[in-house]
Amino acid sequence: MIVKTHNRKMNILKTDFKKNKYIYLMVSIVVAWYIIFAYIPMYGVIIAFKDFNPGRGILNSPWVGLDHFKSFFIDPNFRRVITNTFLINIYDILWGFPAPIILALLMNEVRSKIFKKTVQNLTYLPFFISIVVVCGIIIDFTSTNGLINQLLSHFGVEKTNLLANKDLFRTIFVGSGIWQGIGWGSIIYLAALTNIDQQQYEAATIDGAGRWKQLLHITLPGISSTIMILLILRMGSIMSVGFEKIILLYNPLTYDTADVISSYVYRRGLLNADYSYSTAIGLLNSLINFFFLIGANWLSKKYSENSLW
Amino acid sequence: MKKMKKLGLPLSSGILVASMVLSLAACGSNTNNSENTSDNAPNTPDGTATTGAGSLADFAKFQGTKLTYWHPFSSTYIKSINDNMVVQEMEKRTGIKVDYITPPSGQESDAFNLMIASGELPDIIPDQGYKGGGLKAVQDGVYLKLNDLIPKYAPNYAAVLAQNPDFAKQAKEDDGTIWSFKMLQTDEEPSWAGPAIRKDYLDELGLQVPKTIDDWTNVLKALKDKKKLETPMLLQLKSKFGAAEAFAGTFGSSYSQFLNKNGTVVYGPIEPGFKDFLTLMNQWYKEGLIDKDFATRDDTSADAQVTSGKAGAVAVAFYGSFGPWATSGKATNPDYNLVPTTYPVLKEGDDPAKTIHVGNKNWYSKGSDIAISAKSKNVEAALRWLDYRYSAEGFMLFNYGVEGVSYNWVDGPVEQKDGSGFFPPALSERIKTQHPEFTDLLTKNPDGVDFWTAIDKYKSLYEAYLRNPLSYVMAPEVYDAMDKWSTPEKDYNMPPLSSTDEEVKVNAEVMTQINTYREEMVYKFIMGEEPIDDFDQYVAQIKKMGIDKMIKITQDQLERYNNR
Amino acid sequence: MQHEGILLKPLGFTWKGYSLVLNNPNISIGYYNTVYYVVVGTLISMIFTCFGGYALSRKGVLFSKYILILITITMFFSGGLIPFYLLVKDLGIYDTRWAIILPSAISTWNLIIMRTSFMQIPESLEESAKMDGANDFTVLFRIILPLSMPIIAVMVLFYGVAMWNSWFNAAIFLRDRSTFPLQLILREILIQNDKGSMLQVQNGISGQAEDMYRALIQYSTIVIATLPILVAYPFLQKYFVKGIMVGSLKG
Repeated sequence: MIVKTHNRKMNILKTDFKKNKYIYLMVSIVVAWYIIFAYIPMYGVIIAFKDFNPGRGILNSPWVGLDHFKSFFIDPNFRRVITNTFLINIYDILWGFPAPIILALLMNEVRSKIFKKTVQNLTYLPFFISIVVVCGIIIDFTSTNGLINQLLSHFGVEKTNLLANKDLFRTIFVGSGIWQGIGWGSIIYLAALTNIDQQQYEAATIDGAGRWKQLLHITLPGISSTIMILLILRMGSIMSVGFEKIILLYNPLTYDTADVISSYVYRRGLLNADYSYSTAIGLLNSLINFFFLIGANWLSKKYSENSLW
Repeated sequence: MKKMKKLGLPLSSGILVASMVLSLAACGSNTNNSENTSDNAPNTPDGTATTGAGSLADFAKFQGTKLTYWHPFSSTYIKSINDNMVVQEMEKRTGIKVDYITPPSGQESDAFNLMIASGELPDIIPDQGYKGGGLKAVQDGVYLKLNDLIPKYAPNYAAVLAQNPDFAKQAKEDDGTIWSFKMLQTDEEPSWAGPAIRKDYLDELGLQVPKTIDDWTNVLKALKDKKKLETPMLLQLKSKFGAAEAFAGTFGSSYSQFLNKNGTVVYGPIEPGFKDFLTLMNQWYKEGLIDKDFATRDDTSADAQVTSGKAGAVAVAFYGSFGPWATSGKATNPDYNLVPTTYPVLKEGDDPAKTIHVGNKNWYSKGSDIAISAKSKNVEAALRWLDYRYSAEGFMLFNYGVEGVSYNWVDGPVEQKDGSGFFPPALSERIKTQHPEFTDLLTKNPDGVDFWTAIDKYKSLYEAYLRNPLSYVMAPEVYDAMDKWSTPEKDYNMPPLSSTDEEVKVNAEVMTQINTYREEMVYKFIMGEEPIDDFDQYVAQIKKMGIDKMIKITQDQLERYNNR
Repeated sequence: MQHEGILLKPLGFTWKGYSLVLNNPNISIGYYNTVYYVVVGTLISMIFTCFGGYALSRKGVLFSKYILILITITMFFSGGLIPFYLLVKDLGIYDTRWAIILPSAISTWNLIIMRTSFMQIPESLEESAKMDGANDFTVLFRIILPLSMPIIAVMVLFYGVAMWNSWFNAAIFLRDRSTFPLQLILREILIQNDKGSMLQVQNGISGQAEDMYRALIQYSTIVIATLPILVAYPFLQKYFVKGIMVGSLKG
């Protein structure tokens, strides 16, 4: 009996392999790349549990168990940086994620090609400005005598340094992120939009559906799988905020809302460049991120057709 | 996730600075009183030496020897490190061919750790903060212990260390281990940071350069009310020259440092004087006398404030800035005149030399350690090659370049402002009547680059050698600044200390927490978001976070240093 | 040239920043190398990504679910810098151009997007082609890819821009300066001009005049580094125009 099933499985395998031999060839190239460049070096995560010293090497450095994790958990700033990291991502998903979709949909409705191209070029340009310069501009605009304050003062608002106000930090951070990324982010949706069959629109027009209805019933469903996949992937970085922009924009007055995991680890690194500690925190981060991705994928699979696997 | 991953690879120059600070703190050297000095090795004009211990004759057997040398490098002027004249001249003089491995700058710390991790070590390794310190590297079998080798193969270095017990003290570990060649300066380098003010504004208002805190208050008020300045004084707490803390220092405290008060270690930001400093700053902030945007002021916009004339004074300026600031400032306002001032004192009649204790004392050893790999097969050649830098000829080569090319000896003694105290004894007679003068290649470079760019080609790179910190061409204000800022006779700055592995660990854990809290509170105190009356609670909280443990550790380190 | 904060009120115009950057002897080498890395790297990345995206998008292929999970995991967990560096050394591609191209050949994010896009192409097209005796390579190159030009353009843009902007791998894997990409050289120039601050701390003195041009150099560097990619964009843009999907081909 067992032999029989075994044989049957083998047979299925054989036929499948024959039928799809080129597919397997392609897949094995990709899998080989992943094994070599991603899985072989993965043993390095063990330094999260060691006191890594480059002179001794990964294998010979002493084990310290969960020390690095403990040191993070008992840190008085632990709760604050976790909360801030999470909240900044939530705001970014709420505002930053839909922004490029809306831009793409708007551009889709625009008929004038010149206008469309101009808008596209203008919105995508900021993506290429280095983060240091972007933050310099933000600091300049938000300073006491900066552009924003000068505008606001016409409406009788008192001039203050906006970046010194902890209640505004997330808004400034997420808002400037949208400004910088909206055009670049919309490219992928624009590409997805081209996949929608034009005949559907023609048919809908004949049926007398207005543009709003077409948007709801043709355009959005047409790019929904792209949106879902990108959303699932976005959920997989819910505990990640890059430290560069944070450390360029924050100051001790806004630590309360601005200090995130990566910036805190960065400041700690200033005192002692410690691979083990940052690996441990990175690992913790990744675990949480991965669970969020799995959760999002499961929900998406359950309620829509889309999933990563 | 990508970004998080990057954290494993600390990229910032900040970390670099940290590792430099670490390497500064980690010191090692030699107590051996080597008899084998080369003080008398005569120096001939063509830069070669006659016979004698540690002279070029010792290199005869190394003709064609190859050494590998890992050295971070970047330049906007020369293409590769081999285009540096000092490098070329060293090869000519010693016959040793050095193969430079140059990681891109900005990535030194990672590149260094990767090199160590790969186990493929070059002969000569400039330390970039080996985890746990140089002593640990010796124990791990990465660096060579040099104690016995220096008297044998590095007589010039041994002789410099023997000149002054403090040199040797600052060049070795607590247990006496010496694992590196250090950048040494045989005299005290002038302080390089302190306050500055617009003299032209003061003249216009008929005011004197302020000396006491009250003077400063009056002057800043006048700058605000009469001169209508947007920023009477810039206050850069996160300044790139953070070591100098002119105003906190007046109150015997410090914004961030541990201080050595006559042998007792204290933490500056919880000293009683720090409360007075905060009270003053809070008052000044309320009255609009200091930068409204001090919390977010970055270096670029700080420069703009100074050169555009919006700022009347700078709490902590740095002497390298005077030149560029003046050039930009004079372009818009020909009267622009920013002058350095002495550190402020508490009351009229106080002598800053006696009452101020937080300056910027510079130590004889400037770190920049160069170690030799424990796996090197050319130990003697490597030592001799490094040792040459500490000879009189090496001193001239590394500080001034090649005679007849980048400098010439001309008549007139070496002045103190040009660093007469930094010259080796072998040159002491000569510098009474002659001094080296840079040629037009450096001062009026035919390629049109300025002195500071041209030195990439003609002077030594920044690394361990016997250094004259005044062998540069500087703006006149700079010399004035050195005088005014170097007044404190007794400085509370900590000497270069060594940390044990455990101490480094405690430091990272405790100080990150304390620094975060301290910075937040200090900013809030100054801006009035926290009442100054809560200062005691602030001190209690820092104590709760474990500052006493760190004070104890630092005290131990200081005592170990004193007992070296 | 005076700056009032950032870019707000430049009081004059000067080429000084550009000449300072462009006079650097390494810039032209950097440009050449970057173009090389972008062209070769993007080509290889596209081949890998198309193979992976196509193979994993076909229904009924065994193990594809597990392979996808394994691939997704690599987005989250990595061994960090040191094992990666040792691997590159062991593979013998250290200090060669391959060290820049191979380790970053596949972006998992891009691969997943590519797969999603391929999945939306009706299976009937593939089946009819196979009836006519086409193998999977033919299907991929003759049917799938021509129908996916917009997403291909996006991927080319994403890979190309990523390669154009990348410098870190070059910083750790390259030793020979004649293989350095532009971004690494520009970064060095920026750091060199910021080194003022660092050197000043240890040195006491430094970069007097350099300091003045720091901001200038920063902006010039940015323009020099991003201009080419801005110029290239309109060429790809045409693929994002609605309706390029050759409807007739489908029919």
